[in-house]
Amino acid sequence: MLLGSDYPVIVRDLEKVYPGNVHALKGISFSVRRGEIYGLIGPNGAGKTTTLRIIATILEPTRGDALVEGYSVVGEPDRVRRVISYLPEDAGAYKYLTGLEFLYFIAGFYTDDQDRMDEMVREAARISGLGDRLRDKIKTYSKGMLRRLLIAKTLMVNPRVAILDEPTSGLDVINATKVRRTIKKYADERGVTVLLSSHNMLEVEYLCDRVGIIHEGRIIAEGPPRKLVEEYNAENLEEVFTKLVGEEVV
Amino acid sequence: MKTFKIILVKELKSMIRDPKIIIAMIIVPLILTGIMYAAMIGFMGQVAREAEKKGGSLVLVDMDHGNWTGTVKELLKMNGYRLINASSLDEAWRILGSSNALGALVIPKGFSENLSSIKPAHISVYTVIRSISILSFTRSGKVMEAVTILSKNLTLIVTTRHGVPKEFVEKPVDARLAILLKNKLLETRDVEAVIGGLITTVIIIPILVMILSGFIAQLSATSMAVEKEEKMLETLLSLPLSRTQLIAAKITAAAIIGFLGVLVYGGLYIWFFSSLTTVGSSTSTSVVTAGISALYSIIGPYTITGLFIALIGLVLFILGLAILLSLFVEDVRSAQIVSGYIVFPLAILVFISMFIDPVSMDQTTRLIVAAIPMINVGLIIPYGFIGDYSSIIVAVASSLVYAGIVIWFTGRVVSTEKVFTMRLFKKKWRLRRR
Ligand SMILES: Nc1ncnc2c1ncn2[C@@H]1O[C@H](COP(=O)(O)OP(=O)(O)O)[C@@H](O)[C@H]1O
Ligand SMILES: [Mg+2]
Repeated sequence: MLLGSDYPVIVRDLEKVYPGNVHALKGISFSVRRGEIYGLIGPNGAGKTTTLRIIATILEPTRGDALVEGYSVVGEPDRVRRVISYLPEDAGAYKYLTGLEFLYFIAGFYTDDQDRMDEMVREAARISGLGDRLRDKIKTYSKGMLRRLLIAKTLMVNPRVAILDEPTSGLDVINATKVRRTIKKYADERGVTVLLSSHNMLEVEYLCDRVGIIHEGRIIAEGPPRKLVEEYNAENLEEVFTKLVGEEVV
Repeated sequence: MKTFKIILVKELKSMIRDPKIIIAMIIVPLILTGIMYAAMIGFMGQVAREAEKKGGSLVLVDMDHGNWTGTVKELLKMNGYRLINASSLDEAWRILGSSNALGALVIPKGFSENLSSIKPAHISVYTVIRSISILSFTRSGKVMEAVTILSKNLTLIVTTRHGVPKEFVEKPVDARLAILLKNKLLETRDVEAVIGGLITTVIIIPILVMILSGFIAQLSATSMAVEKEEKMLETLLSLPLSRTQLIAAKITAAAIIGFLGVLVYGGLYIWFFSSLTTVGSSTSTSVVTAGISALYSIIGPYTITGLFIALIGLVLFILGLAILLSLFVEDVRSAQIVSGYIVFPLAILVFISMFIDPVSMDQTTRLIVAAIPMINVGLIIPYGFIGDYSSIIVAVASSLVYAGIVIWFTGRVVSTEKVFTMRLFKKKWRLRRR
């Protein structure tokens, strides 16, 4: 029996059928321990985004449920929303607002207290490292700056569970490394539980305490990256994945 | 109210800073009104001045050489016409062809003789249309004006000679008019203007409402699409916020900006039409105002209140519809097209309502028609006029009910995953099934 206090995220037999009879998830179960960084990894179309969207209360599961801090995403989505902070894949920000205005906009939903809000935005400034550029309109930001702003808005509210969908995808090596370091550092400092996804199997070896390998809507292996590599007698996670799915992926 | 406030502030900030909105709300109306102004004031002004300008050149062929032709020439000159004498029709046409004369008058033999013996005299009038344009038509019309002036003055001269008083000749029957509006009397000297005023009221109210709601529909439709375009919808849906307040804030922001836009448009149009009346002559604002106040006193405060409530219902109905449809499109451009889809057919319904005559329907039909969306609002004034208050109540109630249904339904959709998954224009998904 998993205890909610030890496992802020408990996913049970999630199934998702999209209109058009697309079976995106075929029964996914996993749990995330408090304070760990858990990575869902798998190729494009494996079902990572669908899983995270269900946990983030954007989508409703066809069957199964997920508990976040003990709240069901099916039964109490409003409560779930108060304990999570979600960064969607391919997210944007209001381009006519400045970085600061955007951060205050987000902070306003989490607290009514002005001091607490200022604190959150200061934290975001630190996390993003954007400095004075926060006073400029988001319109003028580069892709890397925008992503750092979004990572900052997600983490600044000090959520019980941070959900990051492909936080580094589409970024160049330098920006991707910066983002990875930020996430790792913040999670270590604050002990926040992070659930992220990636199709880059190498980056999760660095980032995640545990990973779930997801393929065609099922979790086909789970464990700490180092242990999985040993278990399957592989060089890295990529090889683990190839061995797992056999001839299907070359 | 927290969500409402945060979203509203964000909406207003974004809209005010968005150059597209500034262009749509200030620059486009300015340009449109500017063009209309240039066209109307410049061109119509020219036409009006041309029409008012006294006289012009006339070619005169005198075949009579009698004692009255001198008077004719005298009268024409007095009224500002310049006369070019021609000795024959051929010469007259030659002159018409080569000069800028308005036309030709031919006084035939026997003209003076007829007048002297108090018999109608004849005159042939030739007018020229030099080009197909309003200006050219106006000039042609002025030849007939010359004849009218002639007839009037000749009558005066002849009748006063026979001892008939001038006032009698000018206006033998002086009419004082009154219109019986239902059971109130409205005294006037200009029936046409009053009726014009009433028609304007009946037509202008729906049109103003359509402009306003079209504007707001457009803004509220795009304001949801903006979230998708800015890739913020998913983030918003994961935030601890009230979705009802989210929609309410969007509608409010659209309404605020929309009203500002209508003020800009309204202001420009009022300025435009008031500058028109200074150029033209016919529209007398005071008569129109008299018509409106007469109408008000007849249909009474209940109908006006009903109309007001029904209008609010109508605006909410359109807004709800706009937001609902815009949930299912991907970008601002599709949202604009979609809001066009709804506003246009609804506008047609309102226009239909202008041509429905409630007097010719029986009570049951009136009640049924009063429950048709859009038409119901357009019919409130006509219903008030004939005093059918039960139909008014149905119209007001149905307009509120439709608004309620649409907004309730929108709220339902927004609180399910459909807000995120449904698409009006289906995009093909990569299907990776094995
Ligand atoms: N809105 C949708 N409608 C239909 N099918 C979808 C939709 N979203 C995703 N899918 C399908 O579901 C599967 C899983 O997609 P997704 O969760 O986005 O994968 P990943 O994030 O791992 O790349 C894919 O086959 C994808 O085509
Ligand atoms: Mg994905």
